Amino acid sequence: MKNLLKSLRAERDWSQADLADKLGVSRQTVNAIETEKYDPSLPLAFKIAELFGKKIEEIFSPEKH
Amino acid sequence: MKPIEVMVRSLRNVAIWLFVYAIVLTASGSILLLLPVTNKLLGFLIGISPVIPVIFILISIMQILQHSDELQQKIQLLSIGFSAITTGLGTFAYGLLEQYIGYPQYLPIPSTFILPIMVFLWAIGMLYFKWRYR
Repeated sequence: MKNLLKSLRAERDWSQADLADKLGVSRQTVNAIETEKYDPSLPLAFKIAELFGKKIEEIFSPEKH
Repeated sequence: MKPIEVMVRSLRNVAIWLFVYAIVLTASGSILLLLPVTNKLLGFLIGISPVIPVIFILISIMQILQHSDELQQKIQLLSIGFSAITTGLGTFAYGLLEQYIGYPQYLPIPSTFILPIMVFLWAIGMLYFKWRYR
């Protein structure tokens, strides 16, 4: 699954550790989501969307359109 | 309390209880080997006493798993699964060799070896899966 997490984080000038702290997860989890090695659960995806003030589908999209 | 604080506290508890376990194990083993314990119930209680710190180690490890985030839980699930299946299949296969071919090619392995094998494979699995999701 593709996502815009890295660019959204960069826009706000947050480090991975800052974002991890805000989401209550480890920095490794943020990195794994950004590098698309791990797809977050629905509750975490909602949390990310809420934090950035966007809808889930504006941040995450399927690999193939 | 933040999940990371709970994890740190639980990790510290694991270290403390492992230390207690080593002391109790050494003490109970020494008592049973060096002193003549004639009372069977007392001997049983001394022999089983290392289980008490093990229960606290178990509780602390469960707290760590419970307070880990979802990726860490996935890594732990994969590591524990790898460890359990590899140990299970390995000891089962060795057990068959031991049963049907036996001594001297296949020496019996003590059942106390199984836990250290599982822990070792759990660590190997954790290193691999942490690397995969790094």
